[in-house]
Amino acid sequence: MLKRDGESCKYSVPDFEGKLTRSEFDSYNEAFETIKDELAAITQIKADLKELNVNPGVFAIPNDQFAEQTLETKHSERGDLNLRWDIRSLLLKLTCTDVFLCERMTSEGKQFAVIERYGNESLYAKANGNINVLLVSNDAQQAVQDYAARADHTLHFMASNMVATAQRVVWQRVASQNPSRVIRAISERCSKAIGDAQDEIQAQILERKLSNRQNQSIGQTL
Amino acid sequence: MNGESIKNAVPISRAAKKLGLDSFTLYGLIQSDKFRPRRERWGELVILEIELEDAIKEPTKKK
Repeated sequence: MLKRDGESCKYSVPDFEGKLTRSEFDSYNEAFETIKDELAAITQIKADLKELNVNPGVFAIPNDQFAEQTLETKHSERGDLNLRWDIRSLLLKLTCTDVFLCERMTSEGKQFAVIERYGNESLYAKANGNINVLLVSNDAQQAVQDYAARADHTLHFMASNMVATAQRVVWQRVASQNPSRVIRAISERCSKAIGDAQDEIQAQILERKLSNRQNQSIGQTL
Repeated sequence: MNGESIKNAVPISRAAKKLGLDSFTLYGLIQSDKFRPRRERWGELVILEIELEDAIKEPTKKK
């Protein structure tokens, strides 16, 4: 059995091909404990975003569940420039935040916005208002796609910072040793959480495009 | 890389709890420049406690 610093390398961790020594394994577990809640959140959000990426049109259709429900956005300090938006569908539900696709009628036609609403208990919401407009578009489906792309970017940002957090924990624990393998193992686990779902989304989008193309060519033949 | 940690600063996950937000939401607010985190010695982002206090103050009390 391979040994490192006199210790046997015999401990396996998810998504890492190598084996860790007992002390590396302990460091890994301690670091992972620090980021496990965020990694679970990333995995869940990634799964929720998958549907937005694959079927953005579904979310552009008004959902009866939100009929007559509105959100008001404030665009001036005095509150004399408020816009009222009708909720069209729910794009993402988090523990403390809901993200909606909304619409309103303007003189130039319908306008769409992706708006997040924070929970009433949030101290940030109490001080800054519980509504935040993330993006505006004149195309509902485009708004969904743009939000999905933006959320995906945020997930990557979150994952890279999680690895840095794990790095801090590991270095603080074993400052005298080289913890590069532990960091790599954590990093690969985080990358897997982001990457797997991304691959699956791309495969489903490709499958959908091929299916649409097939249907089109069948239509032309008929 | 200097060896000093940034004083009176908290990691993003703890900052999110204090604000009553999901971490994902706070990362989004950082990307929109609503918060200005500092980078710790290991590359980890942290938010100064003073910025957090300011973010939960009533608008009239903000600096």
